[in-house]
Amino acid sequence: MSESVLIIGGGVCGIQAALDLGDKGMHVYMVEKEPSIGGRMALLDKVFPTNDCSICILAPKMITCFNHPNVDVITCAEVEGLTGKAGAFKVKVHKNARYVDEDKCTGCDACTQACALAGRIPDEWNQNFSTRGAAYIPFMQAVPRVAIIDKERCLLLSRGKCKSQCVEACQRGAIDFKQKDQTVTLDVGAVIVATGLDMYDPTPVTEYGYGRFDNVIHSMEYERLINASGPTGGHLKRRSDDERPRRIAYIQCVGARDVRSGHPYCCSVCCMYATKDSMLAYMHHDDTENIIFYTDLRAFGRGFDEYIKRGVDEYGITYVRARPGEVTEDPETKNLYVWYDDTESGGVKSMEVDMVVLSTAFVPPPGISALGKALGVKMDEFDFFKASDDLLAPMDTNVPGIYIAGACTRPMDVTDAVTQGGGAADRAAQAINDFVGKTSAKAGSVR
Amino acid sequence: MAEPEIVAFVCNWCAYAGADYAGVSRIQYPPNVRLVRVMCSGRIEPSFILKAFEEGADGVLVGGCHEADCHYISGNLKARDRVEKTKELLDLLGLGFERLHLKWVNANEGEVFANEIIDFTAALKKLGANPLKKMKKAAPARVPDTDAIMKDTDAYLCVECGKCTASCPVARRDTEFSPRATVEQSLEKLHSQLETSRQLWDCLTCGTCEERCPYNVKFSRFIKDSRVEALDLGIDGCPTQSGQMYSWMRMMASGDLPQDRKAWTEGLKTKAKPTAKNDVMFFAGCLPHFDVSHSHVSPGSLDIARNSVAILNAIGITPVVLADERCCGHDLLFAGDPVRFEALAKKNAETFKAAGVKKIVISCPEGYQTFAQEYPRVVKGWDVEVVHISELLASSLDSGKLTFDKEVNTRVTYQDPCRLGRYMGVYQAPRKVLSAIPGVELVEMEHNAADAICCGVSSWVSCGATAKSIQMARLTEAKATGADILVTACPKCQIHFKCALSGKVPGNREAVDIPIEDLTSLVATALGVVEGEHADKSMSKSARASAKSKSAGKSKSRSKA
Repeated sequence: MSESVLIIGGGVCGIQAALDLGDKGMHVYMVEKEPSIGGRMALLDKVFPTNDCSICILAPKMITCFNHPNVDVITCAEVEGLTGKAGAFKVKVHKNARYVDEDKCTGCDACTQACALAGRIPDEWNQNFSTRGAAYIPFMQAVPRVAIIDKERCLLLSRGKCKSQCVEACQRGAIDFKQKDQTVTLDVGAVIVATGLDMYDPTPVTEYGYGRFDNVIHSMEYERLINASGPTGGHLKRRSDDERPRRIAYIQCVGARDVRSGHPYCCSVCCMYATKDSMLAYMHHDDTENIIFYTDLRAFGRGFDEYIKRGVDEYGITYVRARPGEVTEDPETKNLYVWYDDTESGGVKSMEVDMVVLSTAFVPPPGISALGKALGVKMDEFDFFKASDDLLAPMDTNVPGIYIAGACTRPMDVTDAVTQGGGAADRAAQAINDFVGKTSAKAGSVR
Repeated sequence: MAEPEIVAFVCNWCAYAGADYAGVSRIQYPPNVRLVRVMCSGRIEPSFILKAFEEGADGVLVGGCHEADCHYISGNLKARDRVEKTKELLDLLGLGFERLHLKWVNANEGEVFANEIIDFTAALKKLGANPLKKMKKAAPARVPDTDAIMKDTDAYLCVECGKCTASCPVARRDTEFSPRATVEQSLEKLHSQLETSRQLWDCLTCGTCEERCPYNVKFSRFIKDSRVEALDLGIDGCPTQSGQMYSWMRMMASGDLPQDRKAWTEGLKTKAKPTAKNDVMFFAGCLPHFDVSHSHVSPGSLDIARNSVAILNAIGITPVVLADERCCGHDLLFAGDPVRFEALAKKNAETFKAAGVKKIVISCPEGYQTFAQEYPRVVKGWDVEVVHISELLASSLDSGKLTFDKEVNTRVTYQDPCRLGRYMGVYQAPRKVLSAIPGVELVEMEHNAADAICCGVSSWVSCGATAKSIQMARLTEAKATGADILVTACPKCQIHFKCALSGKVPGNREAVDIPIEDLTSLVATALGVVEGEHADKSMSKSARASAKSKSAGKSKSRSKA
């Protein structure tokens, strides 16, 4: 029997669940695949519909969660298997070696600067717009703010040859190349799956030229470019010439509502985040023209419609009802032409813009079905975790004691993810009460 | 036999006047001829002649002024060339060149005209009736109802986002054409307007829109099925060359013509029946016909067939070639004639079955798509495996059966044929084969693979200013790659591009002028089978054309008739 709850995934949803449970006095294990918690939201610039600074509202929660006396955060770790049943699960967790002692490291950056490969590896946290070394800290506000050694790239670990300047540079002696991957078994009474989402890779949509044209980027790249703590310090720049784009086109539903990509569902957020992106560009420079090519405007949430209206009235956003057929490039200027059929007035037109942002869909992370299999939890045809009842038990699964929350269940925004995190926390607390409480009582009666 | 019927197309100034002269001079000749007067014999297109035969004429006479007498300078010379070509075509079709006569008749040569009719009638009596006379009228097509079309093609799922129209090469040039508006019109229960509209025939069925449609609406099929309704109303797409290709397709579908579709294999190793388990058939399709009827714009279609067989021979395959294969029916199907398409499909299936053919290699993407996707739909128990020659060659590269010993130092770019690419999903095989040829550098056009731009025409409809504009755009892209040759794997892409370049081109010719070759031609060169053993028979266009005209009446293909 265990009264602990395991939360898989340390994004905003998992953090909310952990805080709710921890504050109730319950013990939580949080298993996070990445070296930092925070998830997708930690990388965003602002969030709709309030235009709050994303990391400003999330960072305090991240730190509170990590330092919470009732929460044990295990980073660089993934769940491999689960046995037992509600009230008494045994969970096998694989913890990848960080090669840095988390207790010793102060996040001073000495090792990241000393690394022989510093500045030579594309930084995936910045969508490869900047570089890092093999020893690095994922991003400025990472929690825990502890360095990690990239096992694949580190010269010592991958080839066995390096002067290991990082070890010398670290005054705390935190670098530990002898660290090994570990498998630990956790005893928990309930599990919350909050593994979140991935962004659709628009490369297969060849007609939009992503990967072929420098100035076609996707929305996550845009987020990092316009983020003050991002690779450009918040200056929106074109990849081709570092110039500021004065006319930006946003193409909606890329990889969403698209049978061919395998995602026929609406991703439910791209209407709003494209509007937000447009507002941000306008806030940075109010001579920026923003054109959103949409299929249907789905502004369904509280304050969403008003947000769109503000977009038009105060930020001069142009909404065009069309799904463009193609993007072509002027090889000289690297400007782009968006070819579209204006469905309101009719006729094929092309619009010259400086930058195209593809509003890509939310999709389940690749390989997530392995986790579903390990947990015995059913998934839908797209690899979203499936609720036992979409209407009345949206956080329950086919396995008693295992709950789901956030964007691993369907595409959703921050508000919904937080709501579900809280809901799942309550369901898990109830489960501990039901299963652990009941069995203890039964054990007592036998005695 | 019943009295032969002759249709005579005669020019106003000489031949008709000659016939008139015979009449006023009371010269007797058999009453078996029906005259059609035209201003000049140069007006007579092969389609007129073929149509006459299709409708049951036993003989056709083209009458014009003597050479150098033409009232329009050289119309009669054009007629002479066309009649020559048409004779070859009649041979290929199995009707026999003897049923077509050309006669120069002066206005005062009543006797000459009468004698021609007397001789021709006698000759036709000897030849017997046109075998197409007893051909049954095709049953009327089952016209699919709108609802069925919409359901079959997922048109009801359309959200009118316009991605199709914005992707369409036609819509970009012709503001009246819009796949979105077309589907929308049908969604609004106005489908009948489409049946009578030009837009129905403007679609290239190239599949670019459906490749990109987020809801997978099958627009090409939507158009294809809607054309059945139109054709049922008697509206066709004003096909190229006044529809002569459709005449021969219909003849093949309905008649039992004794064709010899093997004559072109002379000097190549082929067999008449599969003798081993893994024997494959090479299906030539309409290539011999294209060679005759399109040599004025795009010579050398038959080279594709000859090179294909030579390549197969070189990698140790002796393919079956059937003398009685027929048109695959692709164009009839896409032009709204499913009845005759099915007739052809069944005939071909029977022929293949009788010969014991289990696997077909084909160099034409349209035939490939038709055998692979359409035949299983209409032929019960269709179990013939079909591969495009590029796929066979790619797998032969893998197995080591195909190695190139000659260098072909050239830079090429590749045109993805719609049927091979977007319809059948074969993008890599031709590229793999090209890249494997020593010395060949493959460069890609801006639009390639699934985004490739169509050659501008499909199923012999929609040829016009829009088509030319598309072709110029595509050739400009090809030229811009710096390639020496535009390689395609479809005889029709080749015809359409070469046709586009054959006359005047708008703008700078330099920007578009690029030699166009079939994949098989490069492969054959790299294998040394073009210059080697078969060099003399490699059928360089002019060589073959002149050889044919010299031996007219004696050539092998004619000895049968």
